[in-house]
Amino acid sequence: MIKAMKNKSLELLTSQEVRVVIGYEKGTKCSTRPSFFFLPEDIERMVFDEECKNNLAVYLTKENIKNYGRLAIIANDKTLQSIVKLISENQIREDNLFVLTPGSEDGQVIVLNSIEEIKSFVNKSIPSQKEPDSVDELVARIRKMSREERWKYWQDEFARCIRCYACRAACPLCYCTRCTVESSQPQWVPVASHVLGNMEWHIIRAMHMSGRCTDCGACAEACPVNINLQALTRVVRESIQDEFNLTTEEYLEGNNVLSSFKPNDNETFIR
Amino acid sequence: MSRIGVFICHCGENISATVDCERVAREASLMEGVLYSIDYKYMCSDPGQNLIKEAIKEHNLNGVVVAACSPRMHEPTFRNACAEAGLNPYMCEIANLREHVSWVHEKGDATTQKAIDLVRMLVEKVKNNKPLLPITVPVTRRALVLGGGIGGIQASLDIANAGHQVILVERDPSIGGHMSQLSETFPTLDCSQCILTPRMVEVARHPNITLITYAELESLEGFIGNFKAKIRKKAKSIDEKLCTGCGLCTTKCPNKKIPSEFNEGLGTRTAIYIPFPQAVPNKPVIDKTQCTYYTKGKCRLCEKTCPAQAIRLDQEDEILEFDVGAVVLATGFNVKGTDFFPEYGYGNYQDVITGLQFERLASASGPTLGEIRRPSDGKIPEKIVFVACAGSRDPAKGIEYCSKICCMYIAKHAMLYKHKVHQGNAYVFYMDIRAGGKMYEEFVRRAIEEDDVKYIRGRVSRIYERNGKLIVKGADTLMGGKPIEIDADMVVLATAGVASPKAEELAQKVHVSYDQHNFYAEAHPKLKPVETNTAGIFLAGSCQAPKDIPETVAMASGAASKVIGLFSNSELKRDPSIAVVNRMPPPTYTTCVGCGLCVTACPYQAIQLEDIKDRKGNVVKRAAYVNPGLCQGCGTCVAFCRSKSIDIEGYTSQQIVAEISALLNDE
Repeated sequence: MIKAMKNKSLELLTSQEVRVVIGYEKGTKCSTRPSFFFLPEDIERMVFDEECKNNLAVYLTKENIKNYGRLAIIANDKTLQSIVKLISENQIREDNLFVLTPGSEDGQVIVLNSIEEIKSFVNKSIPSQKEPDSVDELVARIRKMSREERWKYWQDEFARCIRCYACRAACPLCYCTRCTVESSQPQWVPVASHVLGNMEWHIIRAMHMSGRCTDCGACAEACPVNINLQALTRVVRESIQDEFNLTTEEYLEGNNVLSSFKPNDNETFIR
Repeated sequence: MSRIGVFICHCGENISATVDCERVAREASLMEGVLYSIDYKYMCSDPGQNLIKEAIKEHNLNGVVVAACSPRMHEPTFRNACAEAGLNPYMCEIANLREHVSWVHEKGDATTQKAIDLVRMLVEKVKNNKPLLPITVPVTRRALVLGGGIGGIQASLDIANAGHQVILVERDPSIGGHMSQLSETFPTLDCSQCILTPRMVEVARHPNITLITYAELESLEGFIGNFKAKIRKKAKSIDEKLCTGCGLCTTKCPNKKIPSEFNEGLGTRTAIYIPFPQAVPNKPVIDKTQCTYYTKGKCRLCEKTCPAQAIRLDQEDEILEFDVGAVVLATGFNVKGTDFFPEYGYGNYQDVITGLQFERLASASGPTLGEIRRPSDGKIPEKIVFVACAGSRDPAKGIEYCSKICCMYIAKHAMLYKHKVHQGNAYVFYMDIRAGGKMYEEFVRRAIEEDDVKYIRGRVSRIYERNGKLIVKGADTLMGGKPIEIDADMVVLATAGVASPKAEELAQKVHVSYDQHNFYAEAHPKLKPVETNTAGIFLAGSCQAPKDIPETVAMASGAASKVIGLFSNSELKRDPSIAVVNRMPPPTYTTCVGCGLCVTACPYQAIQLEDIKDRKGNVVKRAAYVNPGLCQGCGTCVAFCRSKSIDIEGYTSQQIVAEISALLNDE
C-alpha cells in the first residue's frame, strides 16, 4: 500500500496538482511523525503503517498551510472523520483538497477530492460496533464514582496539568486563531498552572468540544503528563449523540447541534 | 480619566424609606473616578433632571450613574437629559435601587450596603462605556395583517384609511372570522352579520387593501420596517377574474354531505362551496380533500356547469412575496369541542353542543333558519341547560384561565332561546357571573329578571342520556350543595376559548413569544398590550387572550395606531445595543473563525457569514457579520462564541466583568 501511496503522491506533486502532500515519515527511535512533502524527491521518505496515528487534519486549518492552496493529505480513519467535521464547520473549502486513504482491498489507495466523495466514503467506513478500549474502562470506572469522588478525581488529574496546551495544538477542531484563554480583555481564565485555572480550562475545552469532538484521541496522545483527556470528550460526544438522537453520520455532518433547534429534538427541557 | 456623576433618587419615599440615600451619595463620592454625587427626592422630575444637566456642564462629567427605579421605567428619561446636556446618552447608566433594593428588602444597614454595591458596580461599568450612536433603518410603509376576523378587518381599515398599503391574509375562503358566525351580539342584541358585513365589503373595496383569502403565511424574514413575507395562496381551483360568483357549480356538485365549518358541523356543504351567502369574496373554492375529482380522479361536473368557464382544476398553490414594514397578528381563537369532556359524554351526545354551535342554531342564516331545534331529531327543546366554565377556570383540565366571553354569551343565548321558545325553560349552571363592561351587568340581570332564566350556582358533574332526555346532574351551592337533576332536551356547553390550532406554528414562524396556552405574549401586560417582544409585530384581538368584540376592535385600532406611528417616518432609530463581531487591522482582520455556531444560535436570523477581503480584493477570511437592523441585542451569540469574538455594544464582556469584579473585590 505504501507503494501506491507514494506513487499517487508523486503523481500529484509532479503534475503540480498540489503544492504539498501532508503525510508521515520515520521519526526518532521506532515511531513515525507528520511530514510535509514539497518536492517529488522528498517522497522517498514517506511511510504509512499502523504506527501513523497522528491526526493530520490539524494542519488543514493553519493559516500558512492554507496559503499553499491546493494540497493533498494522507488520511487514516480518524483524520477522515475530522475532515468531515471541519467541512461541516465551514473550515475547509471545496476542491482545495486531495485526500489519500487506504481502501478496503490490500494495497489499494483511494483518492477523494470533493466534499461529497469524502462524506460518502466516511459514512461507508464508519464501523457499526466499536471494541471497548482502555478509555471505555476508565469512563466506566468514573461513572461508578459519586459526584464528589468524580470532582476529586478530575481535580487531582488536572492538578498535574502544566498548561502547555499540547491538547489544544493537537486537536484538529481547536482551530480558533485566538483561543478563549488568550482573550485578555477581560481575562476569563487565569493563565498560571494552578488547579483552579486548570479546571476552568479543561471544562471550557470539553464544553467547546461538545457536539464536535470526533473522539480521535489526539489530545490525550499529546498530553506530556498523561492525563486521559479522551475520557472527558468521549462522554461529551456520547451524551450529545444520545440526547439529540443522532446517528454517527448525522453527528459528523450536522453542524451546531447545541445552537440549533429542531422540533424533533430529543431534549425535553428545551421546550 | 473618568469624571463620573452619581445621582441618587429617593423616589418620593419608595427608595428612601428603606435605603439611607444620603449615605449612598456620601459613599459614592469616595469611589474612584466619581467627581460629584448627590441625592434628591425625585430625580425624574424637571428640577431633578436639571440637577443632572447642570452637574454635567459644571463638572464636565463624562459618565453618569442614576440610582433610581428600573431602567425599563426611566432609562430613556435620564439618557435624554444627558443628551440635552451634551453627553452621549449611552454614557448614562441606571442602578436599580427601587425594584432591586428598596421594594424587596427591609430597612437596615445591609439594604443600604446593597444599594452602595449596586452603585459601585455601575460606576465601574460606566468607566468602560463608549459613546454609541443610534442605528437608523429605512421603513417600508406597507403592513401585513394576518387574520380576517373582526380584529384583522378593523386593523386593516384603520391602517388603510391612514393612507398606507395593507396586505390582509385570511386562511379561510372568506373573511369575517368567528363574528360572522354569531347570531346576535351582547349587550344590545343587534345582529352580528348586519354590523359586520358592511365592514367586510369595505375591506374588499378599499383601494389600499390587498385581500388574499384561502392563504397562509409561508415565512417571514427581516426586521422592523423591513420584513419579507411569503404568502402561500392555496389553489382555489377557480379563475377568480372570470368567476361571477353565480353559485351554479355549488348546486351541481354531487358531494353534498360535507359538514360545514361555518355551521360548526350542524349543516352540510358541497365540495365546491361558498362558505356562507355574505362571504367576501363571494366566490367558491374547491375543497381538494373532499372533491371527487381530486380524490378519485373523475367528475368535473362543476367544470361542465360553469357558464363562465372559470373552473381551473389544474391550478396550483401560489407563493406571493411582499416587502412589509409591520405585521399585525389577528389570528383569533377557537373553542374547545364537546369531545374534550368525558363527564359530559365525550361529544357522543348529539344534543350536547358548544356555544358556537348554538350561535348557528340561533342565527337566521343558520341550518335551522334561526329556529332553536335540537340537532338529533329537530325537535324544539322545552328544557335547555347552559353550562358555564366548561373547561375554563379548571386547572385539572389544564385551562386555569377565565375565557371571559362565556358569562355574557350564555345570558344572550338563554335570552334568545326564551324569546323564541316562550314556554321553554332555560337553566344556567355557573361558578360566578363575570359581567364587567358597559351595560353588561344590566344585560345579565335582564336575562334573570325579565326573561326568567334560572341561574343555578354550581357545577355540573355529569351528563348522560336516558329515554331521549339528557340528564344533567349538578349541585346548587347556594342551597347548601343540594343535588339537582334536570332532564333537559338540549345542553349548551360554554366551552373554553383556546388558541387557534396553528397558533404555535405561526408564532415560531414570525418569532413572537407565546404563553403555555399558545396565546401570543404582549410586550408588557399593562403598558405594551398590543406590542410583542419582536419589534414591528403587533397583536390584535383574541390571539392574545379570549376577548369580546368591542375589546378586539379597540385592540385592533390600538395595533393599527402603532403601525401608523411606525409608518409616520421614513426611517426609524434603533437602540445601538446590538451584537458586533470584532474587526481589527490586518493581518488579523477579526478573531472570528467563521465556524457559524452563532448563525444557528441567533433567534432573529441576524447573523450571516461574510467574506473579508484584503485591499486587492482577495478573500482572506470568512467571518460572521451581524445585521444591525435585525439584531435585538439578546446576547445569545455572545454566549455561544468560542473565541469570544462577539460583544454586545453597551454590554461588552469587559463591562460586565468590571461590574462583577467591583462587587467581588469589595471588602
